[in-house]
Amino acid sequence: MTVGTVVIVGSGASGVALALSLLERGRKVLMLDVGREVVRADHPDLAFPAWRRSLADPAETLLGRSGEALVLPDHDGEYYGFPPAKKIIFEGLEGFDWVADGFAPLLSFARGGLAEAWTGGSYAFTPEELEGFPFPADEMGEAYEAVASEIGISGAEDDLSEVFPHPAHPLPPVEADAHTTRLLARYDLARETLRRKESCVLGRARLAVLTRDRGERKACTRLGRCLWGCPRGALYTPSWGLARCQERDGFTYRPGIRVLRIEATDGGDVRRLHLRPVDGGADEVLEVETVVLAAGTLATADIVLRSLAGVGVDRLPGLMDNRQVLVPFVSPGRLGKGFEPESYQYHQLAMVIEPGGGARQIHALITTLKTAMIHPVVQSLPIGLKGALRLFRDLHGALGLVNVNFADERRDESFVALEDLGGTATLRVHYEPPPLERTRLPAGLRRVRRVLRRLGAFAPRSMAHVRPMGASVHYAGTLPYSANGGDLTLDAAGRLRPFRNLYVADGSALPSLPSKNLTYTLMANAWRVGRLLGD
Amino acid sequence: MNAEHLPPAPSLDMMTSWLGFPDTAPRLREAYERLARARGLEARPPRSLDRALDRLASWGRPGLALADAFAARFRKRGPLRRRLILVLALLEADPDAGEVLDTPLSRGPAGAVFRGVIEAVGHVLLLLASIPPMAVLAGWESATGGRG
Repeated sequence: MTVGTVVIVGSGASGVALALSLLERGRKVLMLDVGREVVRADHPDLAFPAWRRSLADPAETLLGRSGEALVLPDHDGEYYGFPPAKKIIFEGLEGFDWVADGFAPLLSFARGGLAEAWTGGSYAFTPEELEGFPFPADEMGEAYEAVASEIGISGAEDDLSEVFPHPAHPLPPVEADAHTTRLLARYDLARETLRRKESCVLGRARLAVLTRDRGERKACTRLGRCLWGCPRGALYTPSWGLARCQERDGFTYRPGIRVLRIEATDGGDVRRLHLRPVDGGADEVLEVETVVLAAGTLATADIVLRSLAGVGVDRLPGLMDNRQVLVPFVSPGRLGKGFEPESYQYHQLAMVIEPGGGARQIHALITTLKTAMIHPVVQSLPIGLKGALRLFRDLHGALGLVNVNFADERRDESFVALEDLGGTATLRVHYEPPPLERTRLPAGLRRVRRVLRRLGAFAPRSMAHVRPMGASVHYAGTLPYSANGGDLTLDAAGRLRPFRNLYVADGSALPSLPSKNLTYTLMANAWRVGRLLGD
Repeated sequence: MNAEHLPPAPSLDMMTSWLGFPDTAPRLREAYERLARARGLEARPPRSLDRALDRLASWGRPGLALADAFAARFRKRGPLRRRLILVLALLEADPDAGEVLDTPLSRGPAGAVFRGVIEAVGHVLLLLASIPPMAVLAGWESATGGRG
């Protein structure tokens, strides 16, 4: 390997942002990845209805060859609504064994990682939320802007700008659908009341969605196919960033490789990586100079724990995730008015609520129902299926969903460990909810329902669904930044103590978890680590 | 195996027709059979109540309407409802039927509320009407094991 090469493990949002930052500074990068390839959507000019008509076998594309996307009433487990085309993103890896309690983890071994299936929400941490990080908030501010300029983030300069300072100048927002426009108009009427009584602000979502062409990625033209994979690349996914890396000199991508463990000297000098080809073949050893782990919180924990098994480290405490609650709602004024299939499919509005009483900020994403499969919803109506179908056709354009996120904090009771189960090294993911969750969740949800009423919408209490921990896929906190030092924590540069040349640049690094999608922050942090490593 | 000859009734043609899409069965058949097989919907129901529901549903559109109402209340996870949901999923994937399903039936909030009331009342009436035949059929299925 070339002298001075930085080895990055993982091609997710963090790994790709880090690689771009290093390449920009003239460094050489070798990226190791399992890297299963997600097929890009085709027909970049067909809107959803025409695309559906163009499919050779619509049932196979929309429901899957074996009905993977078919939701029957005995469906158990969380419903994610992932289409068959995205199944590969969440496929397991032979030999990567895990068990979980109190947690339903999603892992990805795909090229681009979990963010290949994200919904684009790009919400920067505030300076207050960065207080536990051992570097000035300004450093992250600069990185947020750099990432925004790389991936393109749309939004509006509205009330949310108070709480989401980055990017300072977003691209114009995606054109709102009629239901979203109605909710915004109601917000304008109720703004002062909502601020005063509910400490709530609302505005256009900050989305990693282009509204102007940028190289190979084209602006969103509201094809309505977001769920099945944007064929224009308007919605940023890390595989687009990876393609940008591959255009640069000094970048080598090596898919088909699982990093098993790191070998270091007693003095903390990482010398070798032990690799396993995923499609068979003999294990390899790679001599390295500098390594950055960006495989995602759980996969990174697996590598670290396997590496330290011989020195008595078998657990990484502090696992965090955002509790999410889904709150369906109806806007009665939209009943019988239909919906627009040709519109951006994920959330177009976001709101922030300060609940007071010592509880941390609540962040909620508001999605109006569009081209998602309807049979999971129709069957939930309490009448016969034929009547439910007729009823739903009038309801469709009036339905929406609020995805309410709650903050989390590091606690020793929630951890990732490596255990020997039946002779196999197995990752154990254990989560215990914070003690105050039982009171704070209902209080937060009451406030969300009150806000919805002010927006002219009705949210039946019985329909709210508390998702299992792990469902938000905002995993963090197992190798956190710390200003106080201590083994298996990170210094300000992202270096894992006590190692000299081992860095971590994924969710593991976060010392606290506000109530928001962390992908933008992960990218910004990785970009910052790349800057420090590269300069 | 041809879906028309799967042990449980009703047929795909009857279900698509009853849901309001009478011409779709031929183009949905291959996917219906494949997915019914993949999701275990072709087996004979072991419960007498489910066999009774199938028998009621096979009495043409009125029987299917009664069975649907009964299943929505008492057998939400039963095989009849699972097959109906499969058909609904196939209809929404079908370009022609999907476009129809994407359009509202009413012209605004008042019409939608009125329709909602009608649907709710209709459901209650169908549910009440389904109980006597279901009691007889379930009793008969239970007594004979469905061999009669």
